[in-house]
Amino acid sequence: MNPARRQLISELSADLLPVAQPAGGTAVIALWLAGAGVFSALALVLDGPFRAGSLQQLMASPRFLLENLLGLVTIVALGAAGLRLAIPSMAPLRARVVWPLLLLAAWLALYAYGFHAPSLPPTMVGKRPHCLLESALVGVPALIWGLWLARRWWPLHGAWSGLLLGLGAGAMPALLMQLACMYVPSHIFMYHLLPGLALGALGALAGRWLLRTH
Amino acid sequence: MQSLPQIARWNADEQRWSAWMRLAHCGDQDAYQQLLIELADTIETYIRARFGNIDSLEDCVQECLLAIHKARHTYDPSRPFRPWLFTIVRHKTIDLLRRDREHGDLRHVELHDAGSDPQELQRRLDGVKVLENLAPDHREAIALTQYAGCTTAEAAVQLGITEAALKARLRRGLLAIRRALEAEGLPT
Repeated sequence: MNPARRQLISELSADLLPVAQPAGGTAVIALWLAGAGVFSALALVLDGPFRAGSLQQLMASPRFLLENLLGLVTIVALGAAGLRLAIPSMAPLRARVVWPLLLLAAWLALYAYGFHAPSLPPTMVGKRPHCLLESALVGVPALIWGLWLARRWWPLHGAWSGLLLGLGAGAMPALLMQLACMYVPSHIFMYHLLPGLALGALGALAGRWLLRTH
Repeated sequence: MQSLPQIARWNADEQRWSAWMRLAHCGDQDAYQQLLIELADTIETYIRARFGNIDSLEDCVQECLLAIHKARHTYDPSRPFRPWLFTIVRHKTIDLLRRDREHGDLRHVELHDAGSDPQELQRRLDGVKVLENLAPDHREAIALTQYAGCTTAEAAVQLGITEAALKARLRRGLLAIRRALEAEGLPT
């Protein structure tokens, strides 16, 4: 064997430290989802009350419930895919990102259908004065935390990881706003969903810059 | 197609490497050293098969070993070892080839078997230049099928893609070569 290679292998072996927690992913993904969800909910509760009767509306309107359940599944899929991209795998990139993005598209399509036939009667009840700002900012800590977690692994597709984590982080406040803010489809699109999508773009840029293998 | 002894050897390697990495996760330096020694040879063979006799082969192998060391905590013992290993090796090698290309280094090419035929010599030199400018996915597909002698099915298995996807890469790669040669006024 090449002496330089032998020397390197000896040094790497001598440098070996036990691995406390091999990156299986699931526990960390659950931690990110729970932490980001709790933070988003707390931030919104502290900034103002949720819309009165919104929980009852979940039970009363199956489509409203479906919108929220699909949103929840989308967030889980985006977060899980974004973090799992930081673990080396032979699975093609397209197969790993297409399902979360399709779920996101389906979720947005439900809202788009709401322009034609809203799932709840449009109402100004529960309007929050700063919902655009809240939607834009509340997801940022979750994005930063997600990027930090992904960076500890071995991210091979930094921009994609950042995009998915940004969309997941941005979708959290957007989903909670369904219960916290007024229900008018155009308002939901402009003030709740667009900031979330913008966070996806920010995540892609940040991921491209921060998530590099070293 | 892989022969049965080859498959048996692959399975034995897989189990041994996975077991050594599990021990390495617990801090067993001897198991880790054994693992790196075996992986170094495997990585060298893999890079030769996929990318040819590149100048920076030894650098590539050592960079890959370093990458495996840094990424060892991302190996999940409940999953197969090979896909994890070769994903790292493939990305690291492509990174290094890109870096080489940015720095203007030329890939080494075996010319001795071109004999004294000047046309064959020229064709090989042009081929290397053209290959260097291909996208990594296309270059891999062409290197495996045209240089390493794999069938499209074997190459597809090695790259972890479907045979149809491999053929599409091959078609696009060959088209890119044709365009590059046409641009240089060379016969295609």
